[in-house]
Amino acid sequence: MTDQEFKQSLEDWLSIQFNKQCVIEELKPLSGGACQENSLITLRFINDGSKKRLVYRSDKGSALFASLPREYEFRVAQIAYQHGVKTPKPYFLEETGNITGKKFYIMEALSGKTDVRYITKDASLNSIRPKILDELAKNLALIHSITLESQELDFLLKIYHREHPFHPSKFAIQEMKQEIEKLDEPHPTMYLAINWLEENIPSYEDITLVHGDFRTGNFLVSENGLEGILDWEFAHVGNPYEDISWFCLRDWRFGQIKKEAGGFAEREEFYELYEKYTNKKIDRKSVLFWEVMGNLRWAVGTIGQAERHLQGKTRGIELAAIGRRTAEMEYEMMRLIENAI
Amino acid sequence: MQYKPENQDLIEAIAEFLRKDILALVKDNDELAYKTLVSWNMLNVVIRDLEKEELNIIKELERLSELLNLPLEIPLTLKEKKEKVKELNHKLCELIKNQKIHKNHPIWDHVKQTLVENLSISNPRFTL
Repeated sequence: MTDQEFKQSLEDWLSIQFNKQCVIEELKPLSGGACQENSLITLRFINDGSKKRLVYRSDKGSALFASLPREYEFRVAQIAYQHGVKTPKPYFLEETGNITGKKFYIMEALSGKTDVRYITKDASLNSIRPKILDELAKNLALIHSITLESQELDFLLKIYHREHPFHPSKFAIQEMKQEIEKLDEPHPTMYLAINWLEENIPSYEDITLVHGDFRTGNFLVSENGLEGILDWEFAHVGNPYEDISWFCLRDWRFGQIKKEAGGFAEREEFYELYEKYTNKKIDRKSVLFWEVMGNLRWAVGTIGQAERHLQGKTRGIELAAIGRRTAEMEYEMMRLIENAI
Repeated sequence: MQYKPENQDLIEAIAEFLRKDILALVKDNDELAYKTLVSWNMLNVVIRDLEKEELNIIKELERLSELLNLPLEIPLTLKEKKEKVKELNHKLCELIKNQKIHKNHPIWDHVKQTLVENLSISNPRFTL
């Protein structure tokens, strides 16, 4: 399919979806997203000349471990949006693959930037960072208020073959053990981490919607504050502490290691805000368990990213380079365990 | 035998070229500038690796043999050394799994030391 055919096909389809004739004025690829292709669309409606900025999101070809196919990601984004989570409005899903050759969905394009340097360091955000943190805590509390009770998340249980009631931490350990066994290179650190995790399983676990990649880089931010939470591809049903600890993971501080909450705020401030919005006390032991688990998951993830390059599924120096970063997560895992009481 | 410059010198020259010439050309394109910086950074990893890898593997083999109670064998070529260290690490993983090794154990200290050596090549700026 040529670029022109792609554009024409999408334009015709969007005219049907909106039920009015429209033209694509601009179609621009957006960077970011290792597993998706995102493009910014500027759409003009013929009848009144009004414009709409949208995002086209499709699969890239090689998915990562545990990433959701587009149709499920769309459903999760819909649920979150309906619950008032600040995320781009999901408009339409195309799951036949007949329009552009791939499944895709269309969502609202929001303003703001995901650039991690801007979010963690730019002086223009200095006075606004406390507001961003507050909005993130508030939105995370909203995400975690979506539970299995309403049954709208049942499809997520099904695709991951989970049956309720289940123990997210035990499930995660099992999942990671299988992943580690599949690795070509031996990683003694990972086995040491599994030993610790197995002895430190949280005694009580809430089960909620989990964003799965709640971190700096997946939030749109502007001088007005948080514009939106993106990337629901790793969403699943699990333990809310997965998101809390993931946000604080060392690697997602992007070099600002003392700013443990997302590389731009104090961890304790984030906890206080989250506690305020959820009315629940943060359990430090659960955070620690999931922070060790998060580092383990990301260590395995880095190997997966490098493999995509090595196997030729998606070639790229940035993917290849990630493979040499595994030791960073492994070291952090050991450090966290050593400091555990 | 190849004549000079040595591999390390050639890689350094490519790294300099990327940093000085190419980066200036692509600085307005975020994605290309980022990829250029990653490439430059990776060349520096390769330079450090060429310098330290073999010695690090020998040190790792020495520690592994002691921990696994095996006679020390240091193969001749780098390729064979890599295969040997991989084989012993598989054995170590089995031991950690079966004997439920935790912190405050010589194996824990060895694994951490190996990571420190790894990081001194892959990211010397990583704060330990």
